[in-house]
Amino acid sequence: MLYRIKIKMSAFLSIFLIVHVISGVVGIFLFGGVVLNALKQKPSFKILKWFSLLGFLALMVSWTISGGYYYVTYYGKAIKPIIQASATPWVHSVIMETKEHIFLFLPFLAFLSMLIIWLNKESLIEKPRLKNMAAIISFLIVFIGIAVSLAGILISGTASR
Amino acid sequence: MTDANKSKIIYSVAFGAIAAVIFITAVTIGADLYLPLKGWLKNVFSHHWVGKSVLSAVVFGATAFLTMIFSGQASEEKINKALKVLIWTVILGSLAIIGFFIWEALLK
Amino acid sequence: MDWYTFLIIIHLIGTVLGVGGATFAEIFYLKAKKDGVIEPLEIDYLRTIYFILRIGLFILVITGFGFLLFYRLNGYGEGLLNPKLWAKLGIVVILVLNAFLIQVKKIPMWLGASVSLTSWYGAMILGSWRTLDASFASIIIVYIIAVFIMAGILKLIKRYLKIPQ
Repeated sequence: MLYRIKIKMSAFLSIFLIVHVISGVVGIFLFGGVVLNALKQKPSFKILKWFSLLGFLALMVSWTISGGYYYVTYYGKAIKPIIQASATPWVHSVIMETKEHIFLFLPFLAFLSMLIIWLNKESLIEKPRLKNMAAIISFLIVFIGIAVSLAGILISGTASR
Repeated sequence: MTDANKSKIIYSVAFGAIAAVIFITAVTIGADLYLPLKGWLKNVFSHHWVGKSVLSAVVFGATAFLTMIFSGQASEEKINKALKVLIWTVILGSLAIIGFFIWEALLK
Repeated sequence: MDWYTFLIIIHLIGTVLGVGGATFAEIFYLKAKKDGVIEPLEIDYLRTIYFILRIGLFILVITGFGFLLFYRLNGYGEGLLNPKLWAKLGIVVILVLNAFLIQVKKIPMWLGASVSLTSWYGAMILGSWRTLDASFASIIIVYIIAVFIMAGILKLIKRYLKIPQ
């Protein structure tokens, strides 16, 4: 059975939430593409370059413009009290708190991965260890990104109870 | 750009990222254990999370810049070592943050 | 056309590309392996299918989150806690991790192929079976059993077609 939630979000904030989620997911997906490509014996540097750059930009949008604004102006006063008063307050105190802080790692990791690829380009194939490091860093972005996304779904669901 | 400069940039940014991850972990745990710190972040930046975001970017930039100025040549071996340290710092930092919040919420 | 219908249509396109792609990837892989040599043209076909499959996955993930946002913003957010949804999310995560493991050759092909096919069909069935009322644990247990049944089926097919190991 689906229940209507009582919180009304303005259209403006709804757009910010949508941009935050979609840009974050796109960023994770693009770095997933970086991982799969970087692990090939003959990677496509066109894909590595553009996926890493667009992935970094997507994560920056998710962090700053959309997610940050939504979190600072809306989550604290409208969502957090509901979760804290619910049967599962740990969804805020553990899941959301972890999510909002671990997410901060991602832009720096994304920037570094992008930099390794852009500064080396095709010569990365002659540096297999560096190429693999870029792949591992990108995999960490994907792993943390997936965890953060799932956390977001749990938080939204709990707030709607 | 020469290969030596490219290597130095990557090395410096890797160090910047290590410093940022350590800072984020430390300020996250520190601000919850020492509430005046959280209060200070809120007063200066209007929200503690904005403060953590801004300061982590400052730490990242400053560390990368200083490493660029003061470090010598960055060999492939040095870069790979720094990246390994970064990977472990991220893993341990993540575990520390989630462990801390589990302890604070459920076990404290 | 409303947003919900639009999301359903695009999500179905992603399902067709993904599930179809995974099915034909396996079929073409078995065909290619039949004579013991995978030729360049066969590799090219497989590469194309994997590309289409990944586009399908991208469409599914984006529209999937589109649905979750739709529910959240239209007051049906409690559906985000549905155990069937979480089982589907879990299966999609396994599918993605499986792709990485196959790429780095850290998973035997017989298991990788089985996980891939079972995950694609499993996610599709969970999405289509509206009236299913099962717990997260029971769905995952059935999924794990299905992976091994699929592995067995693929082994029988390979034996029947006399495909070399």
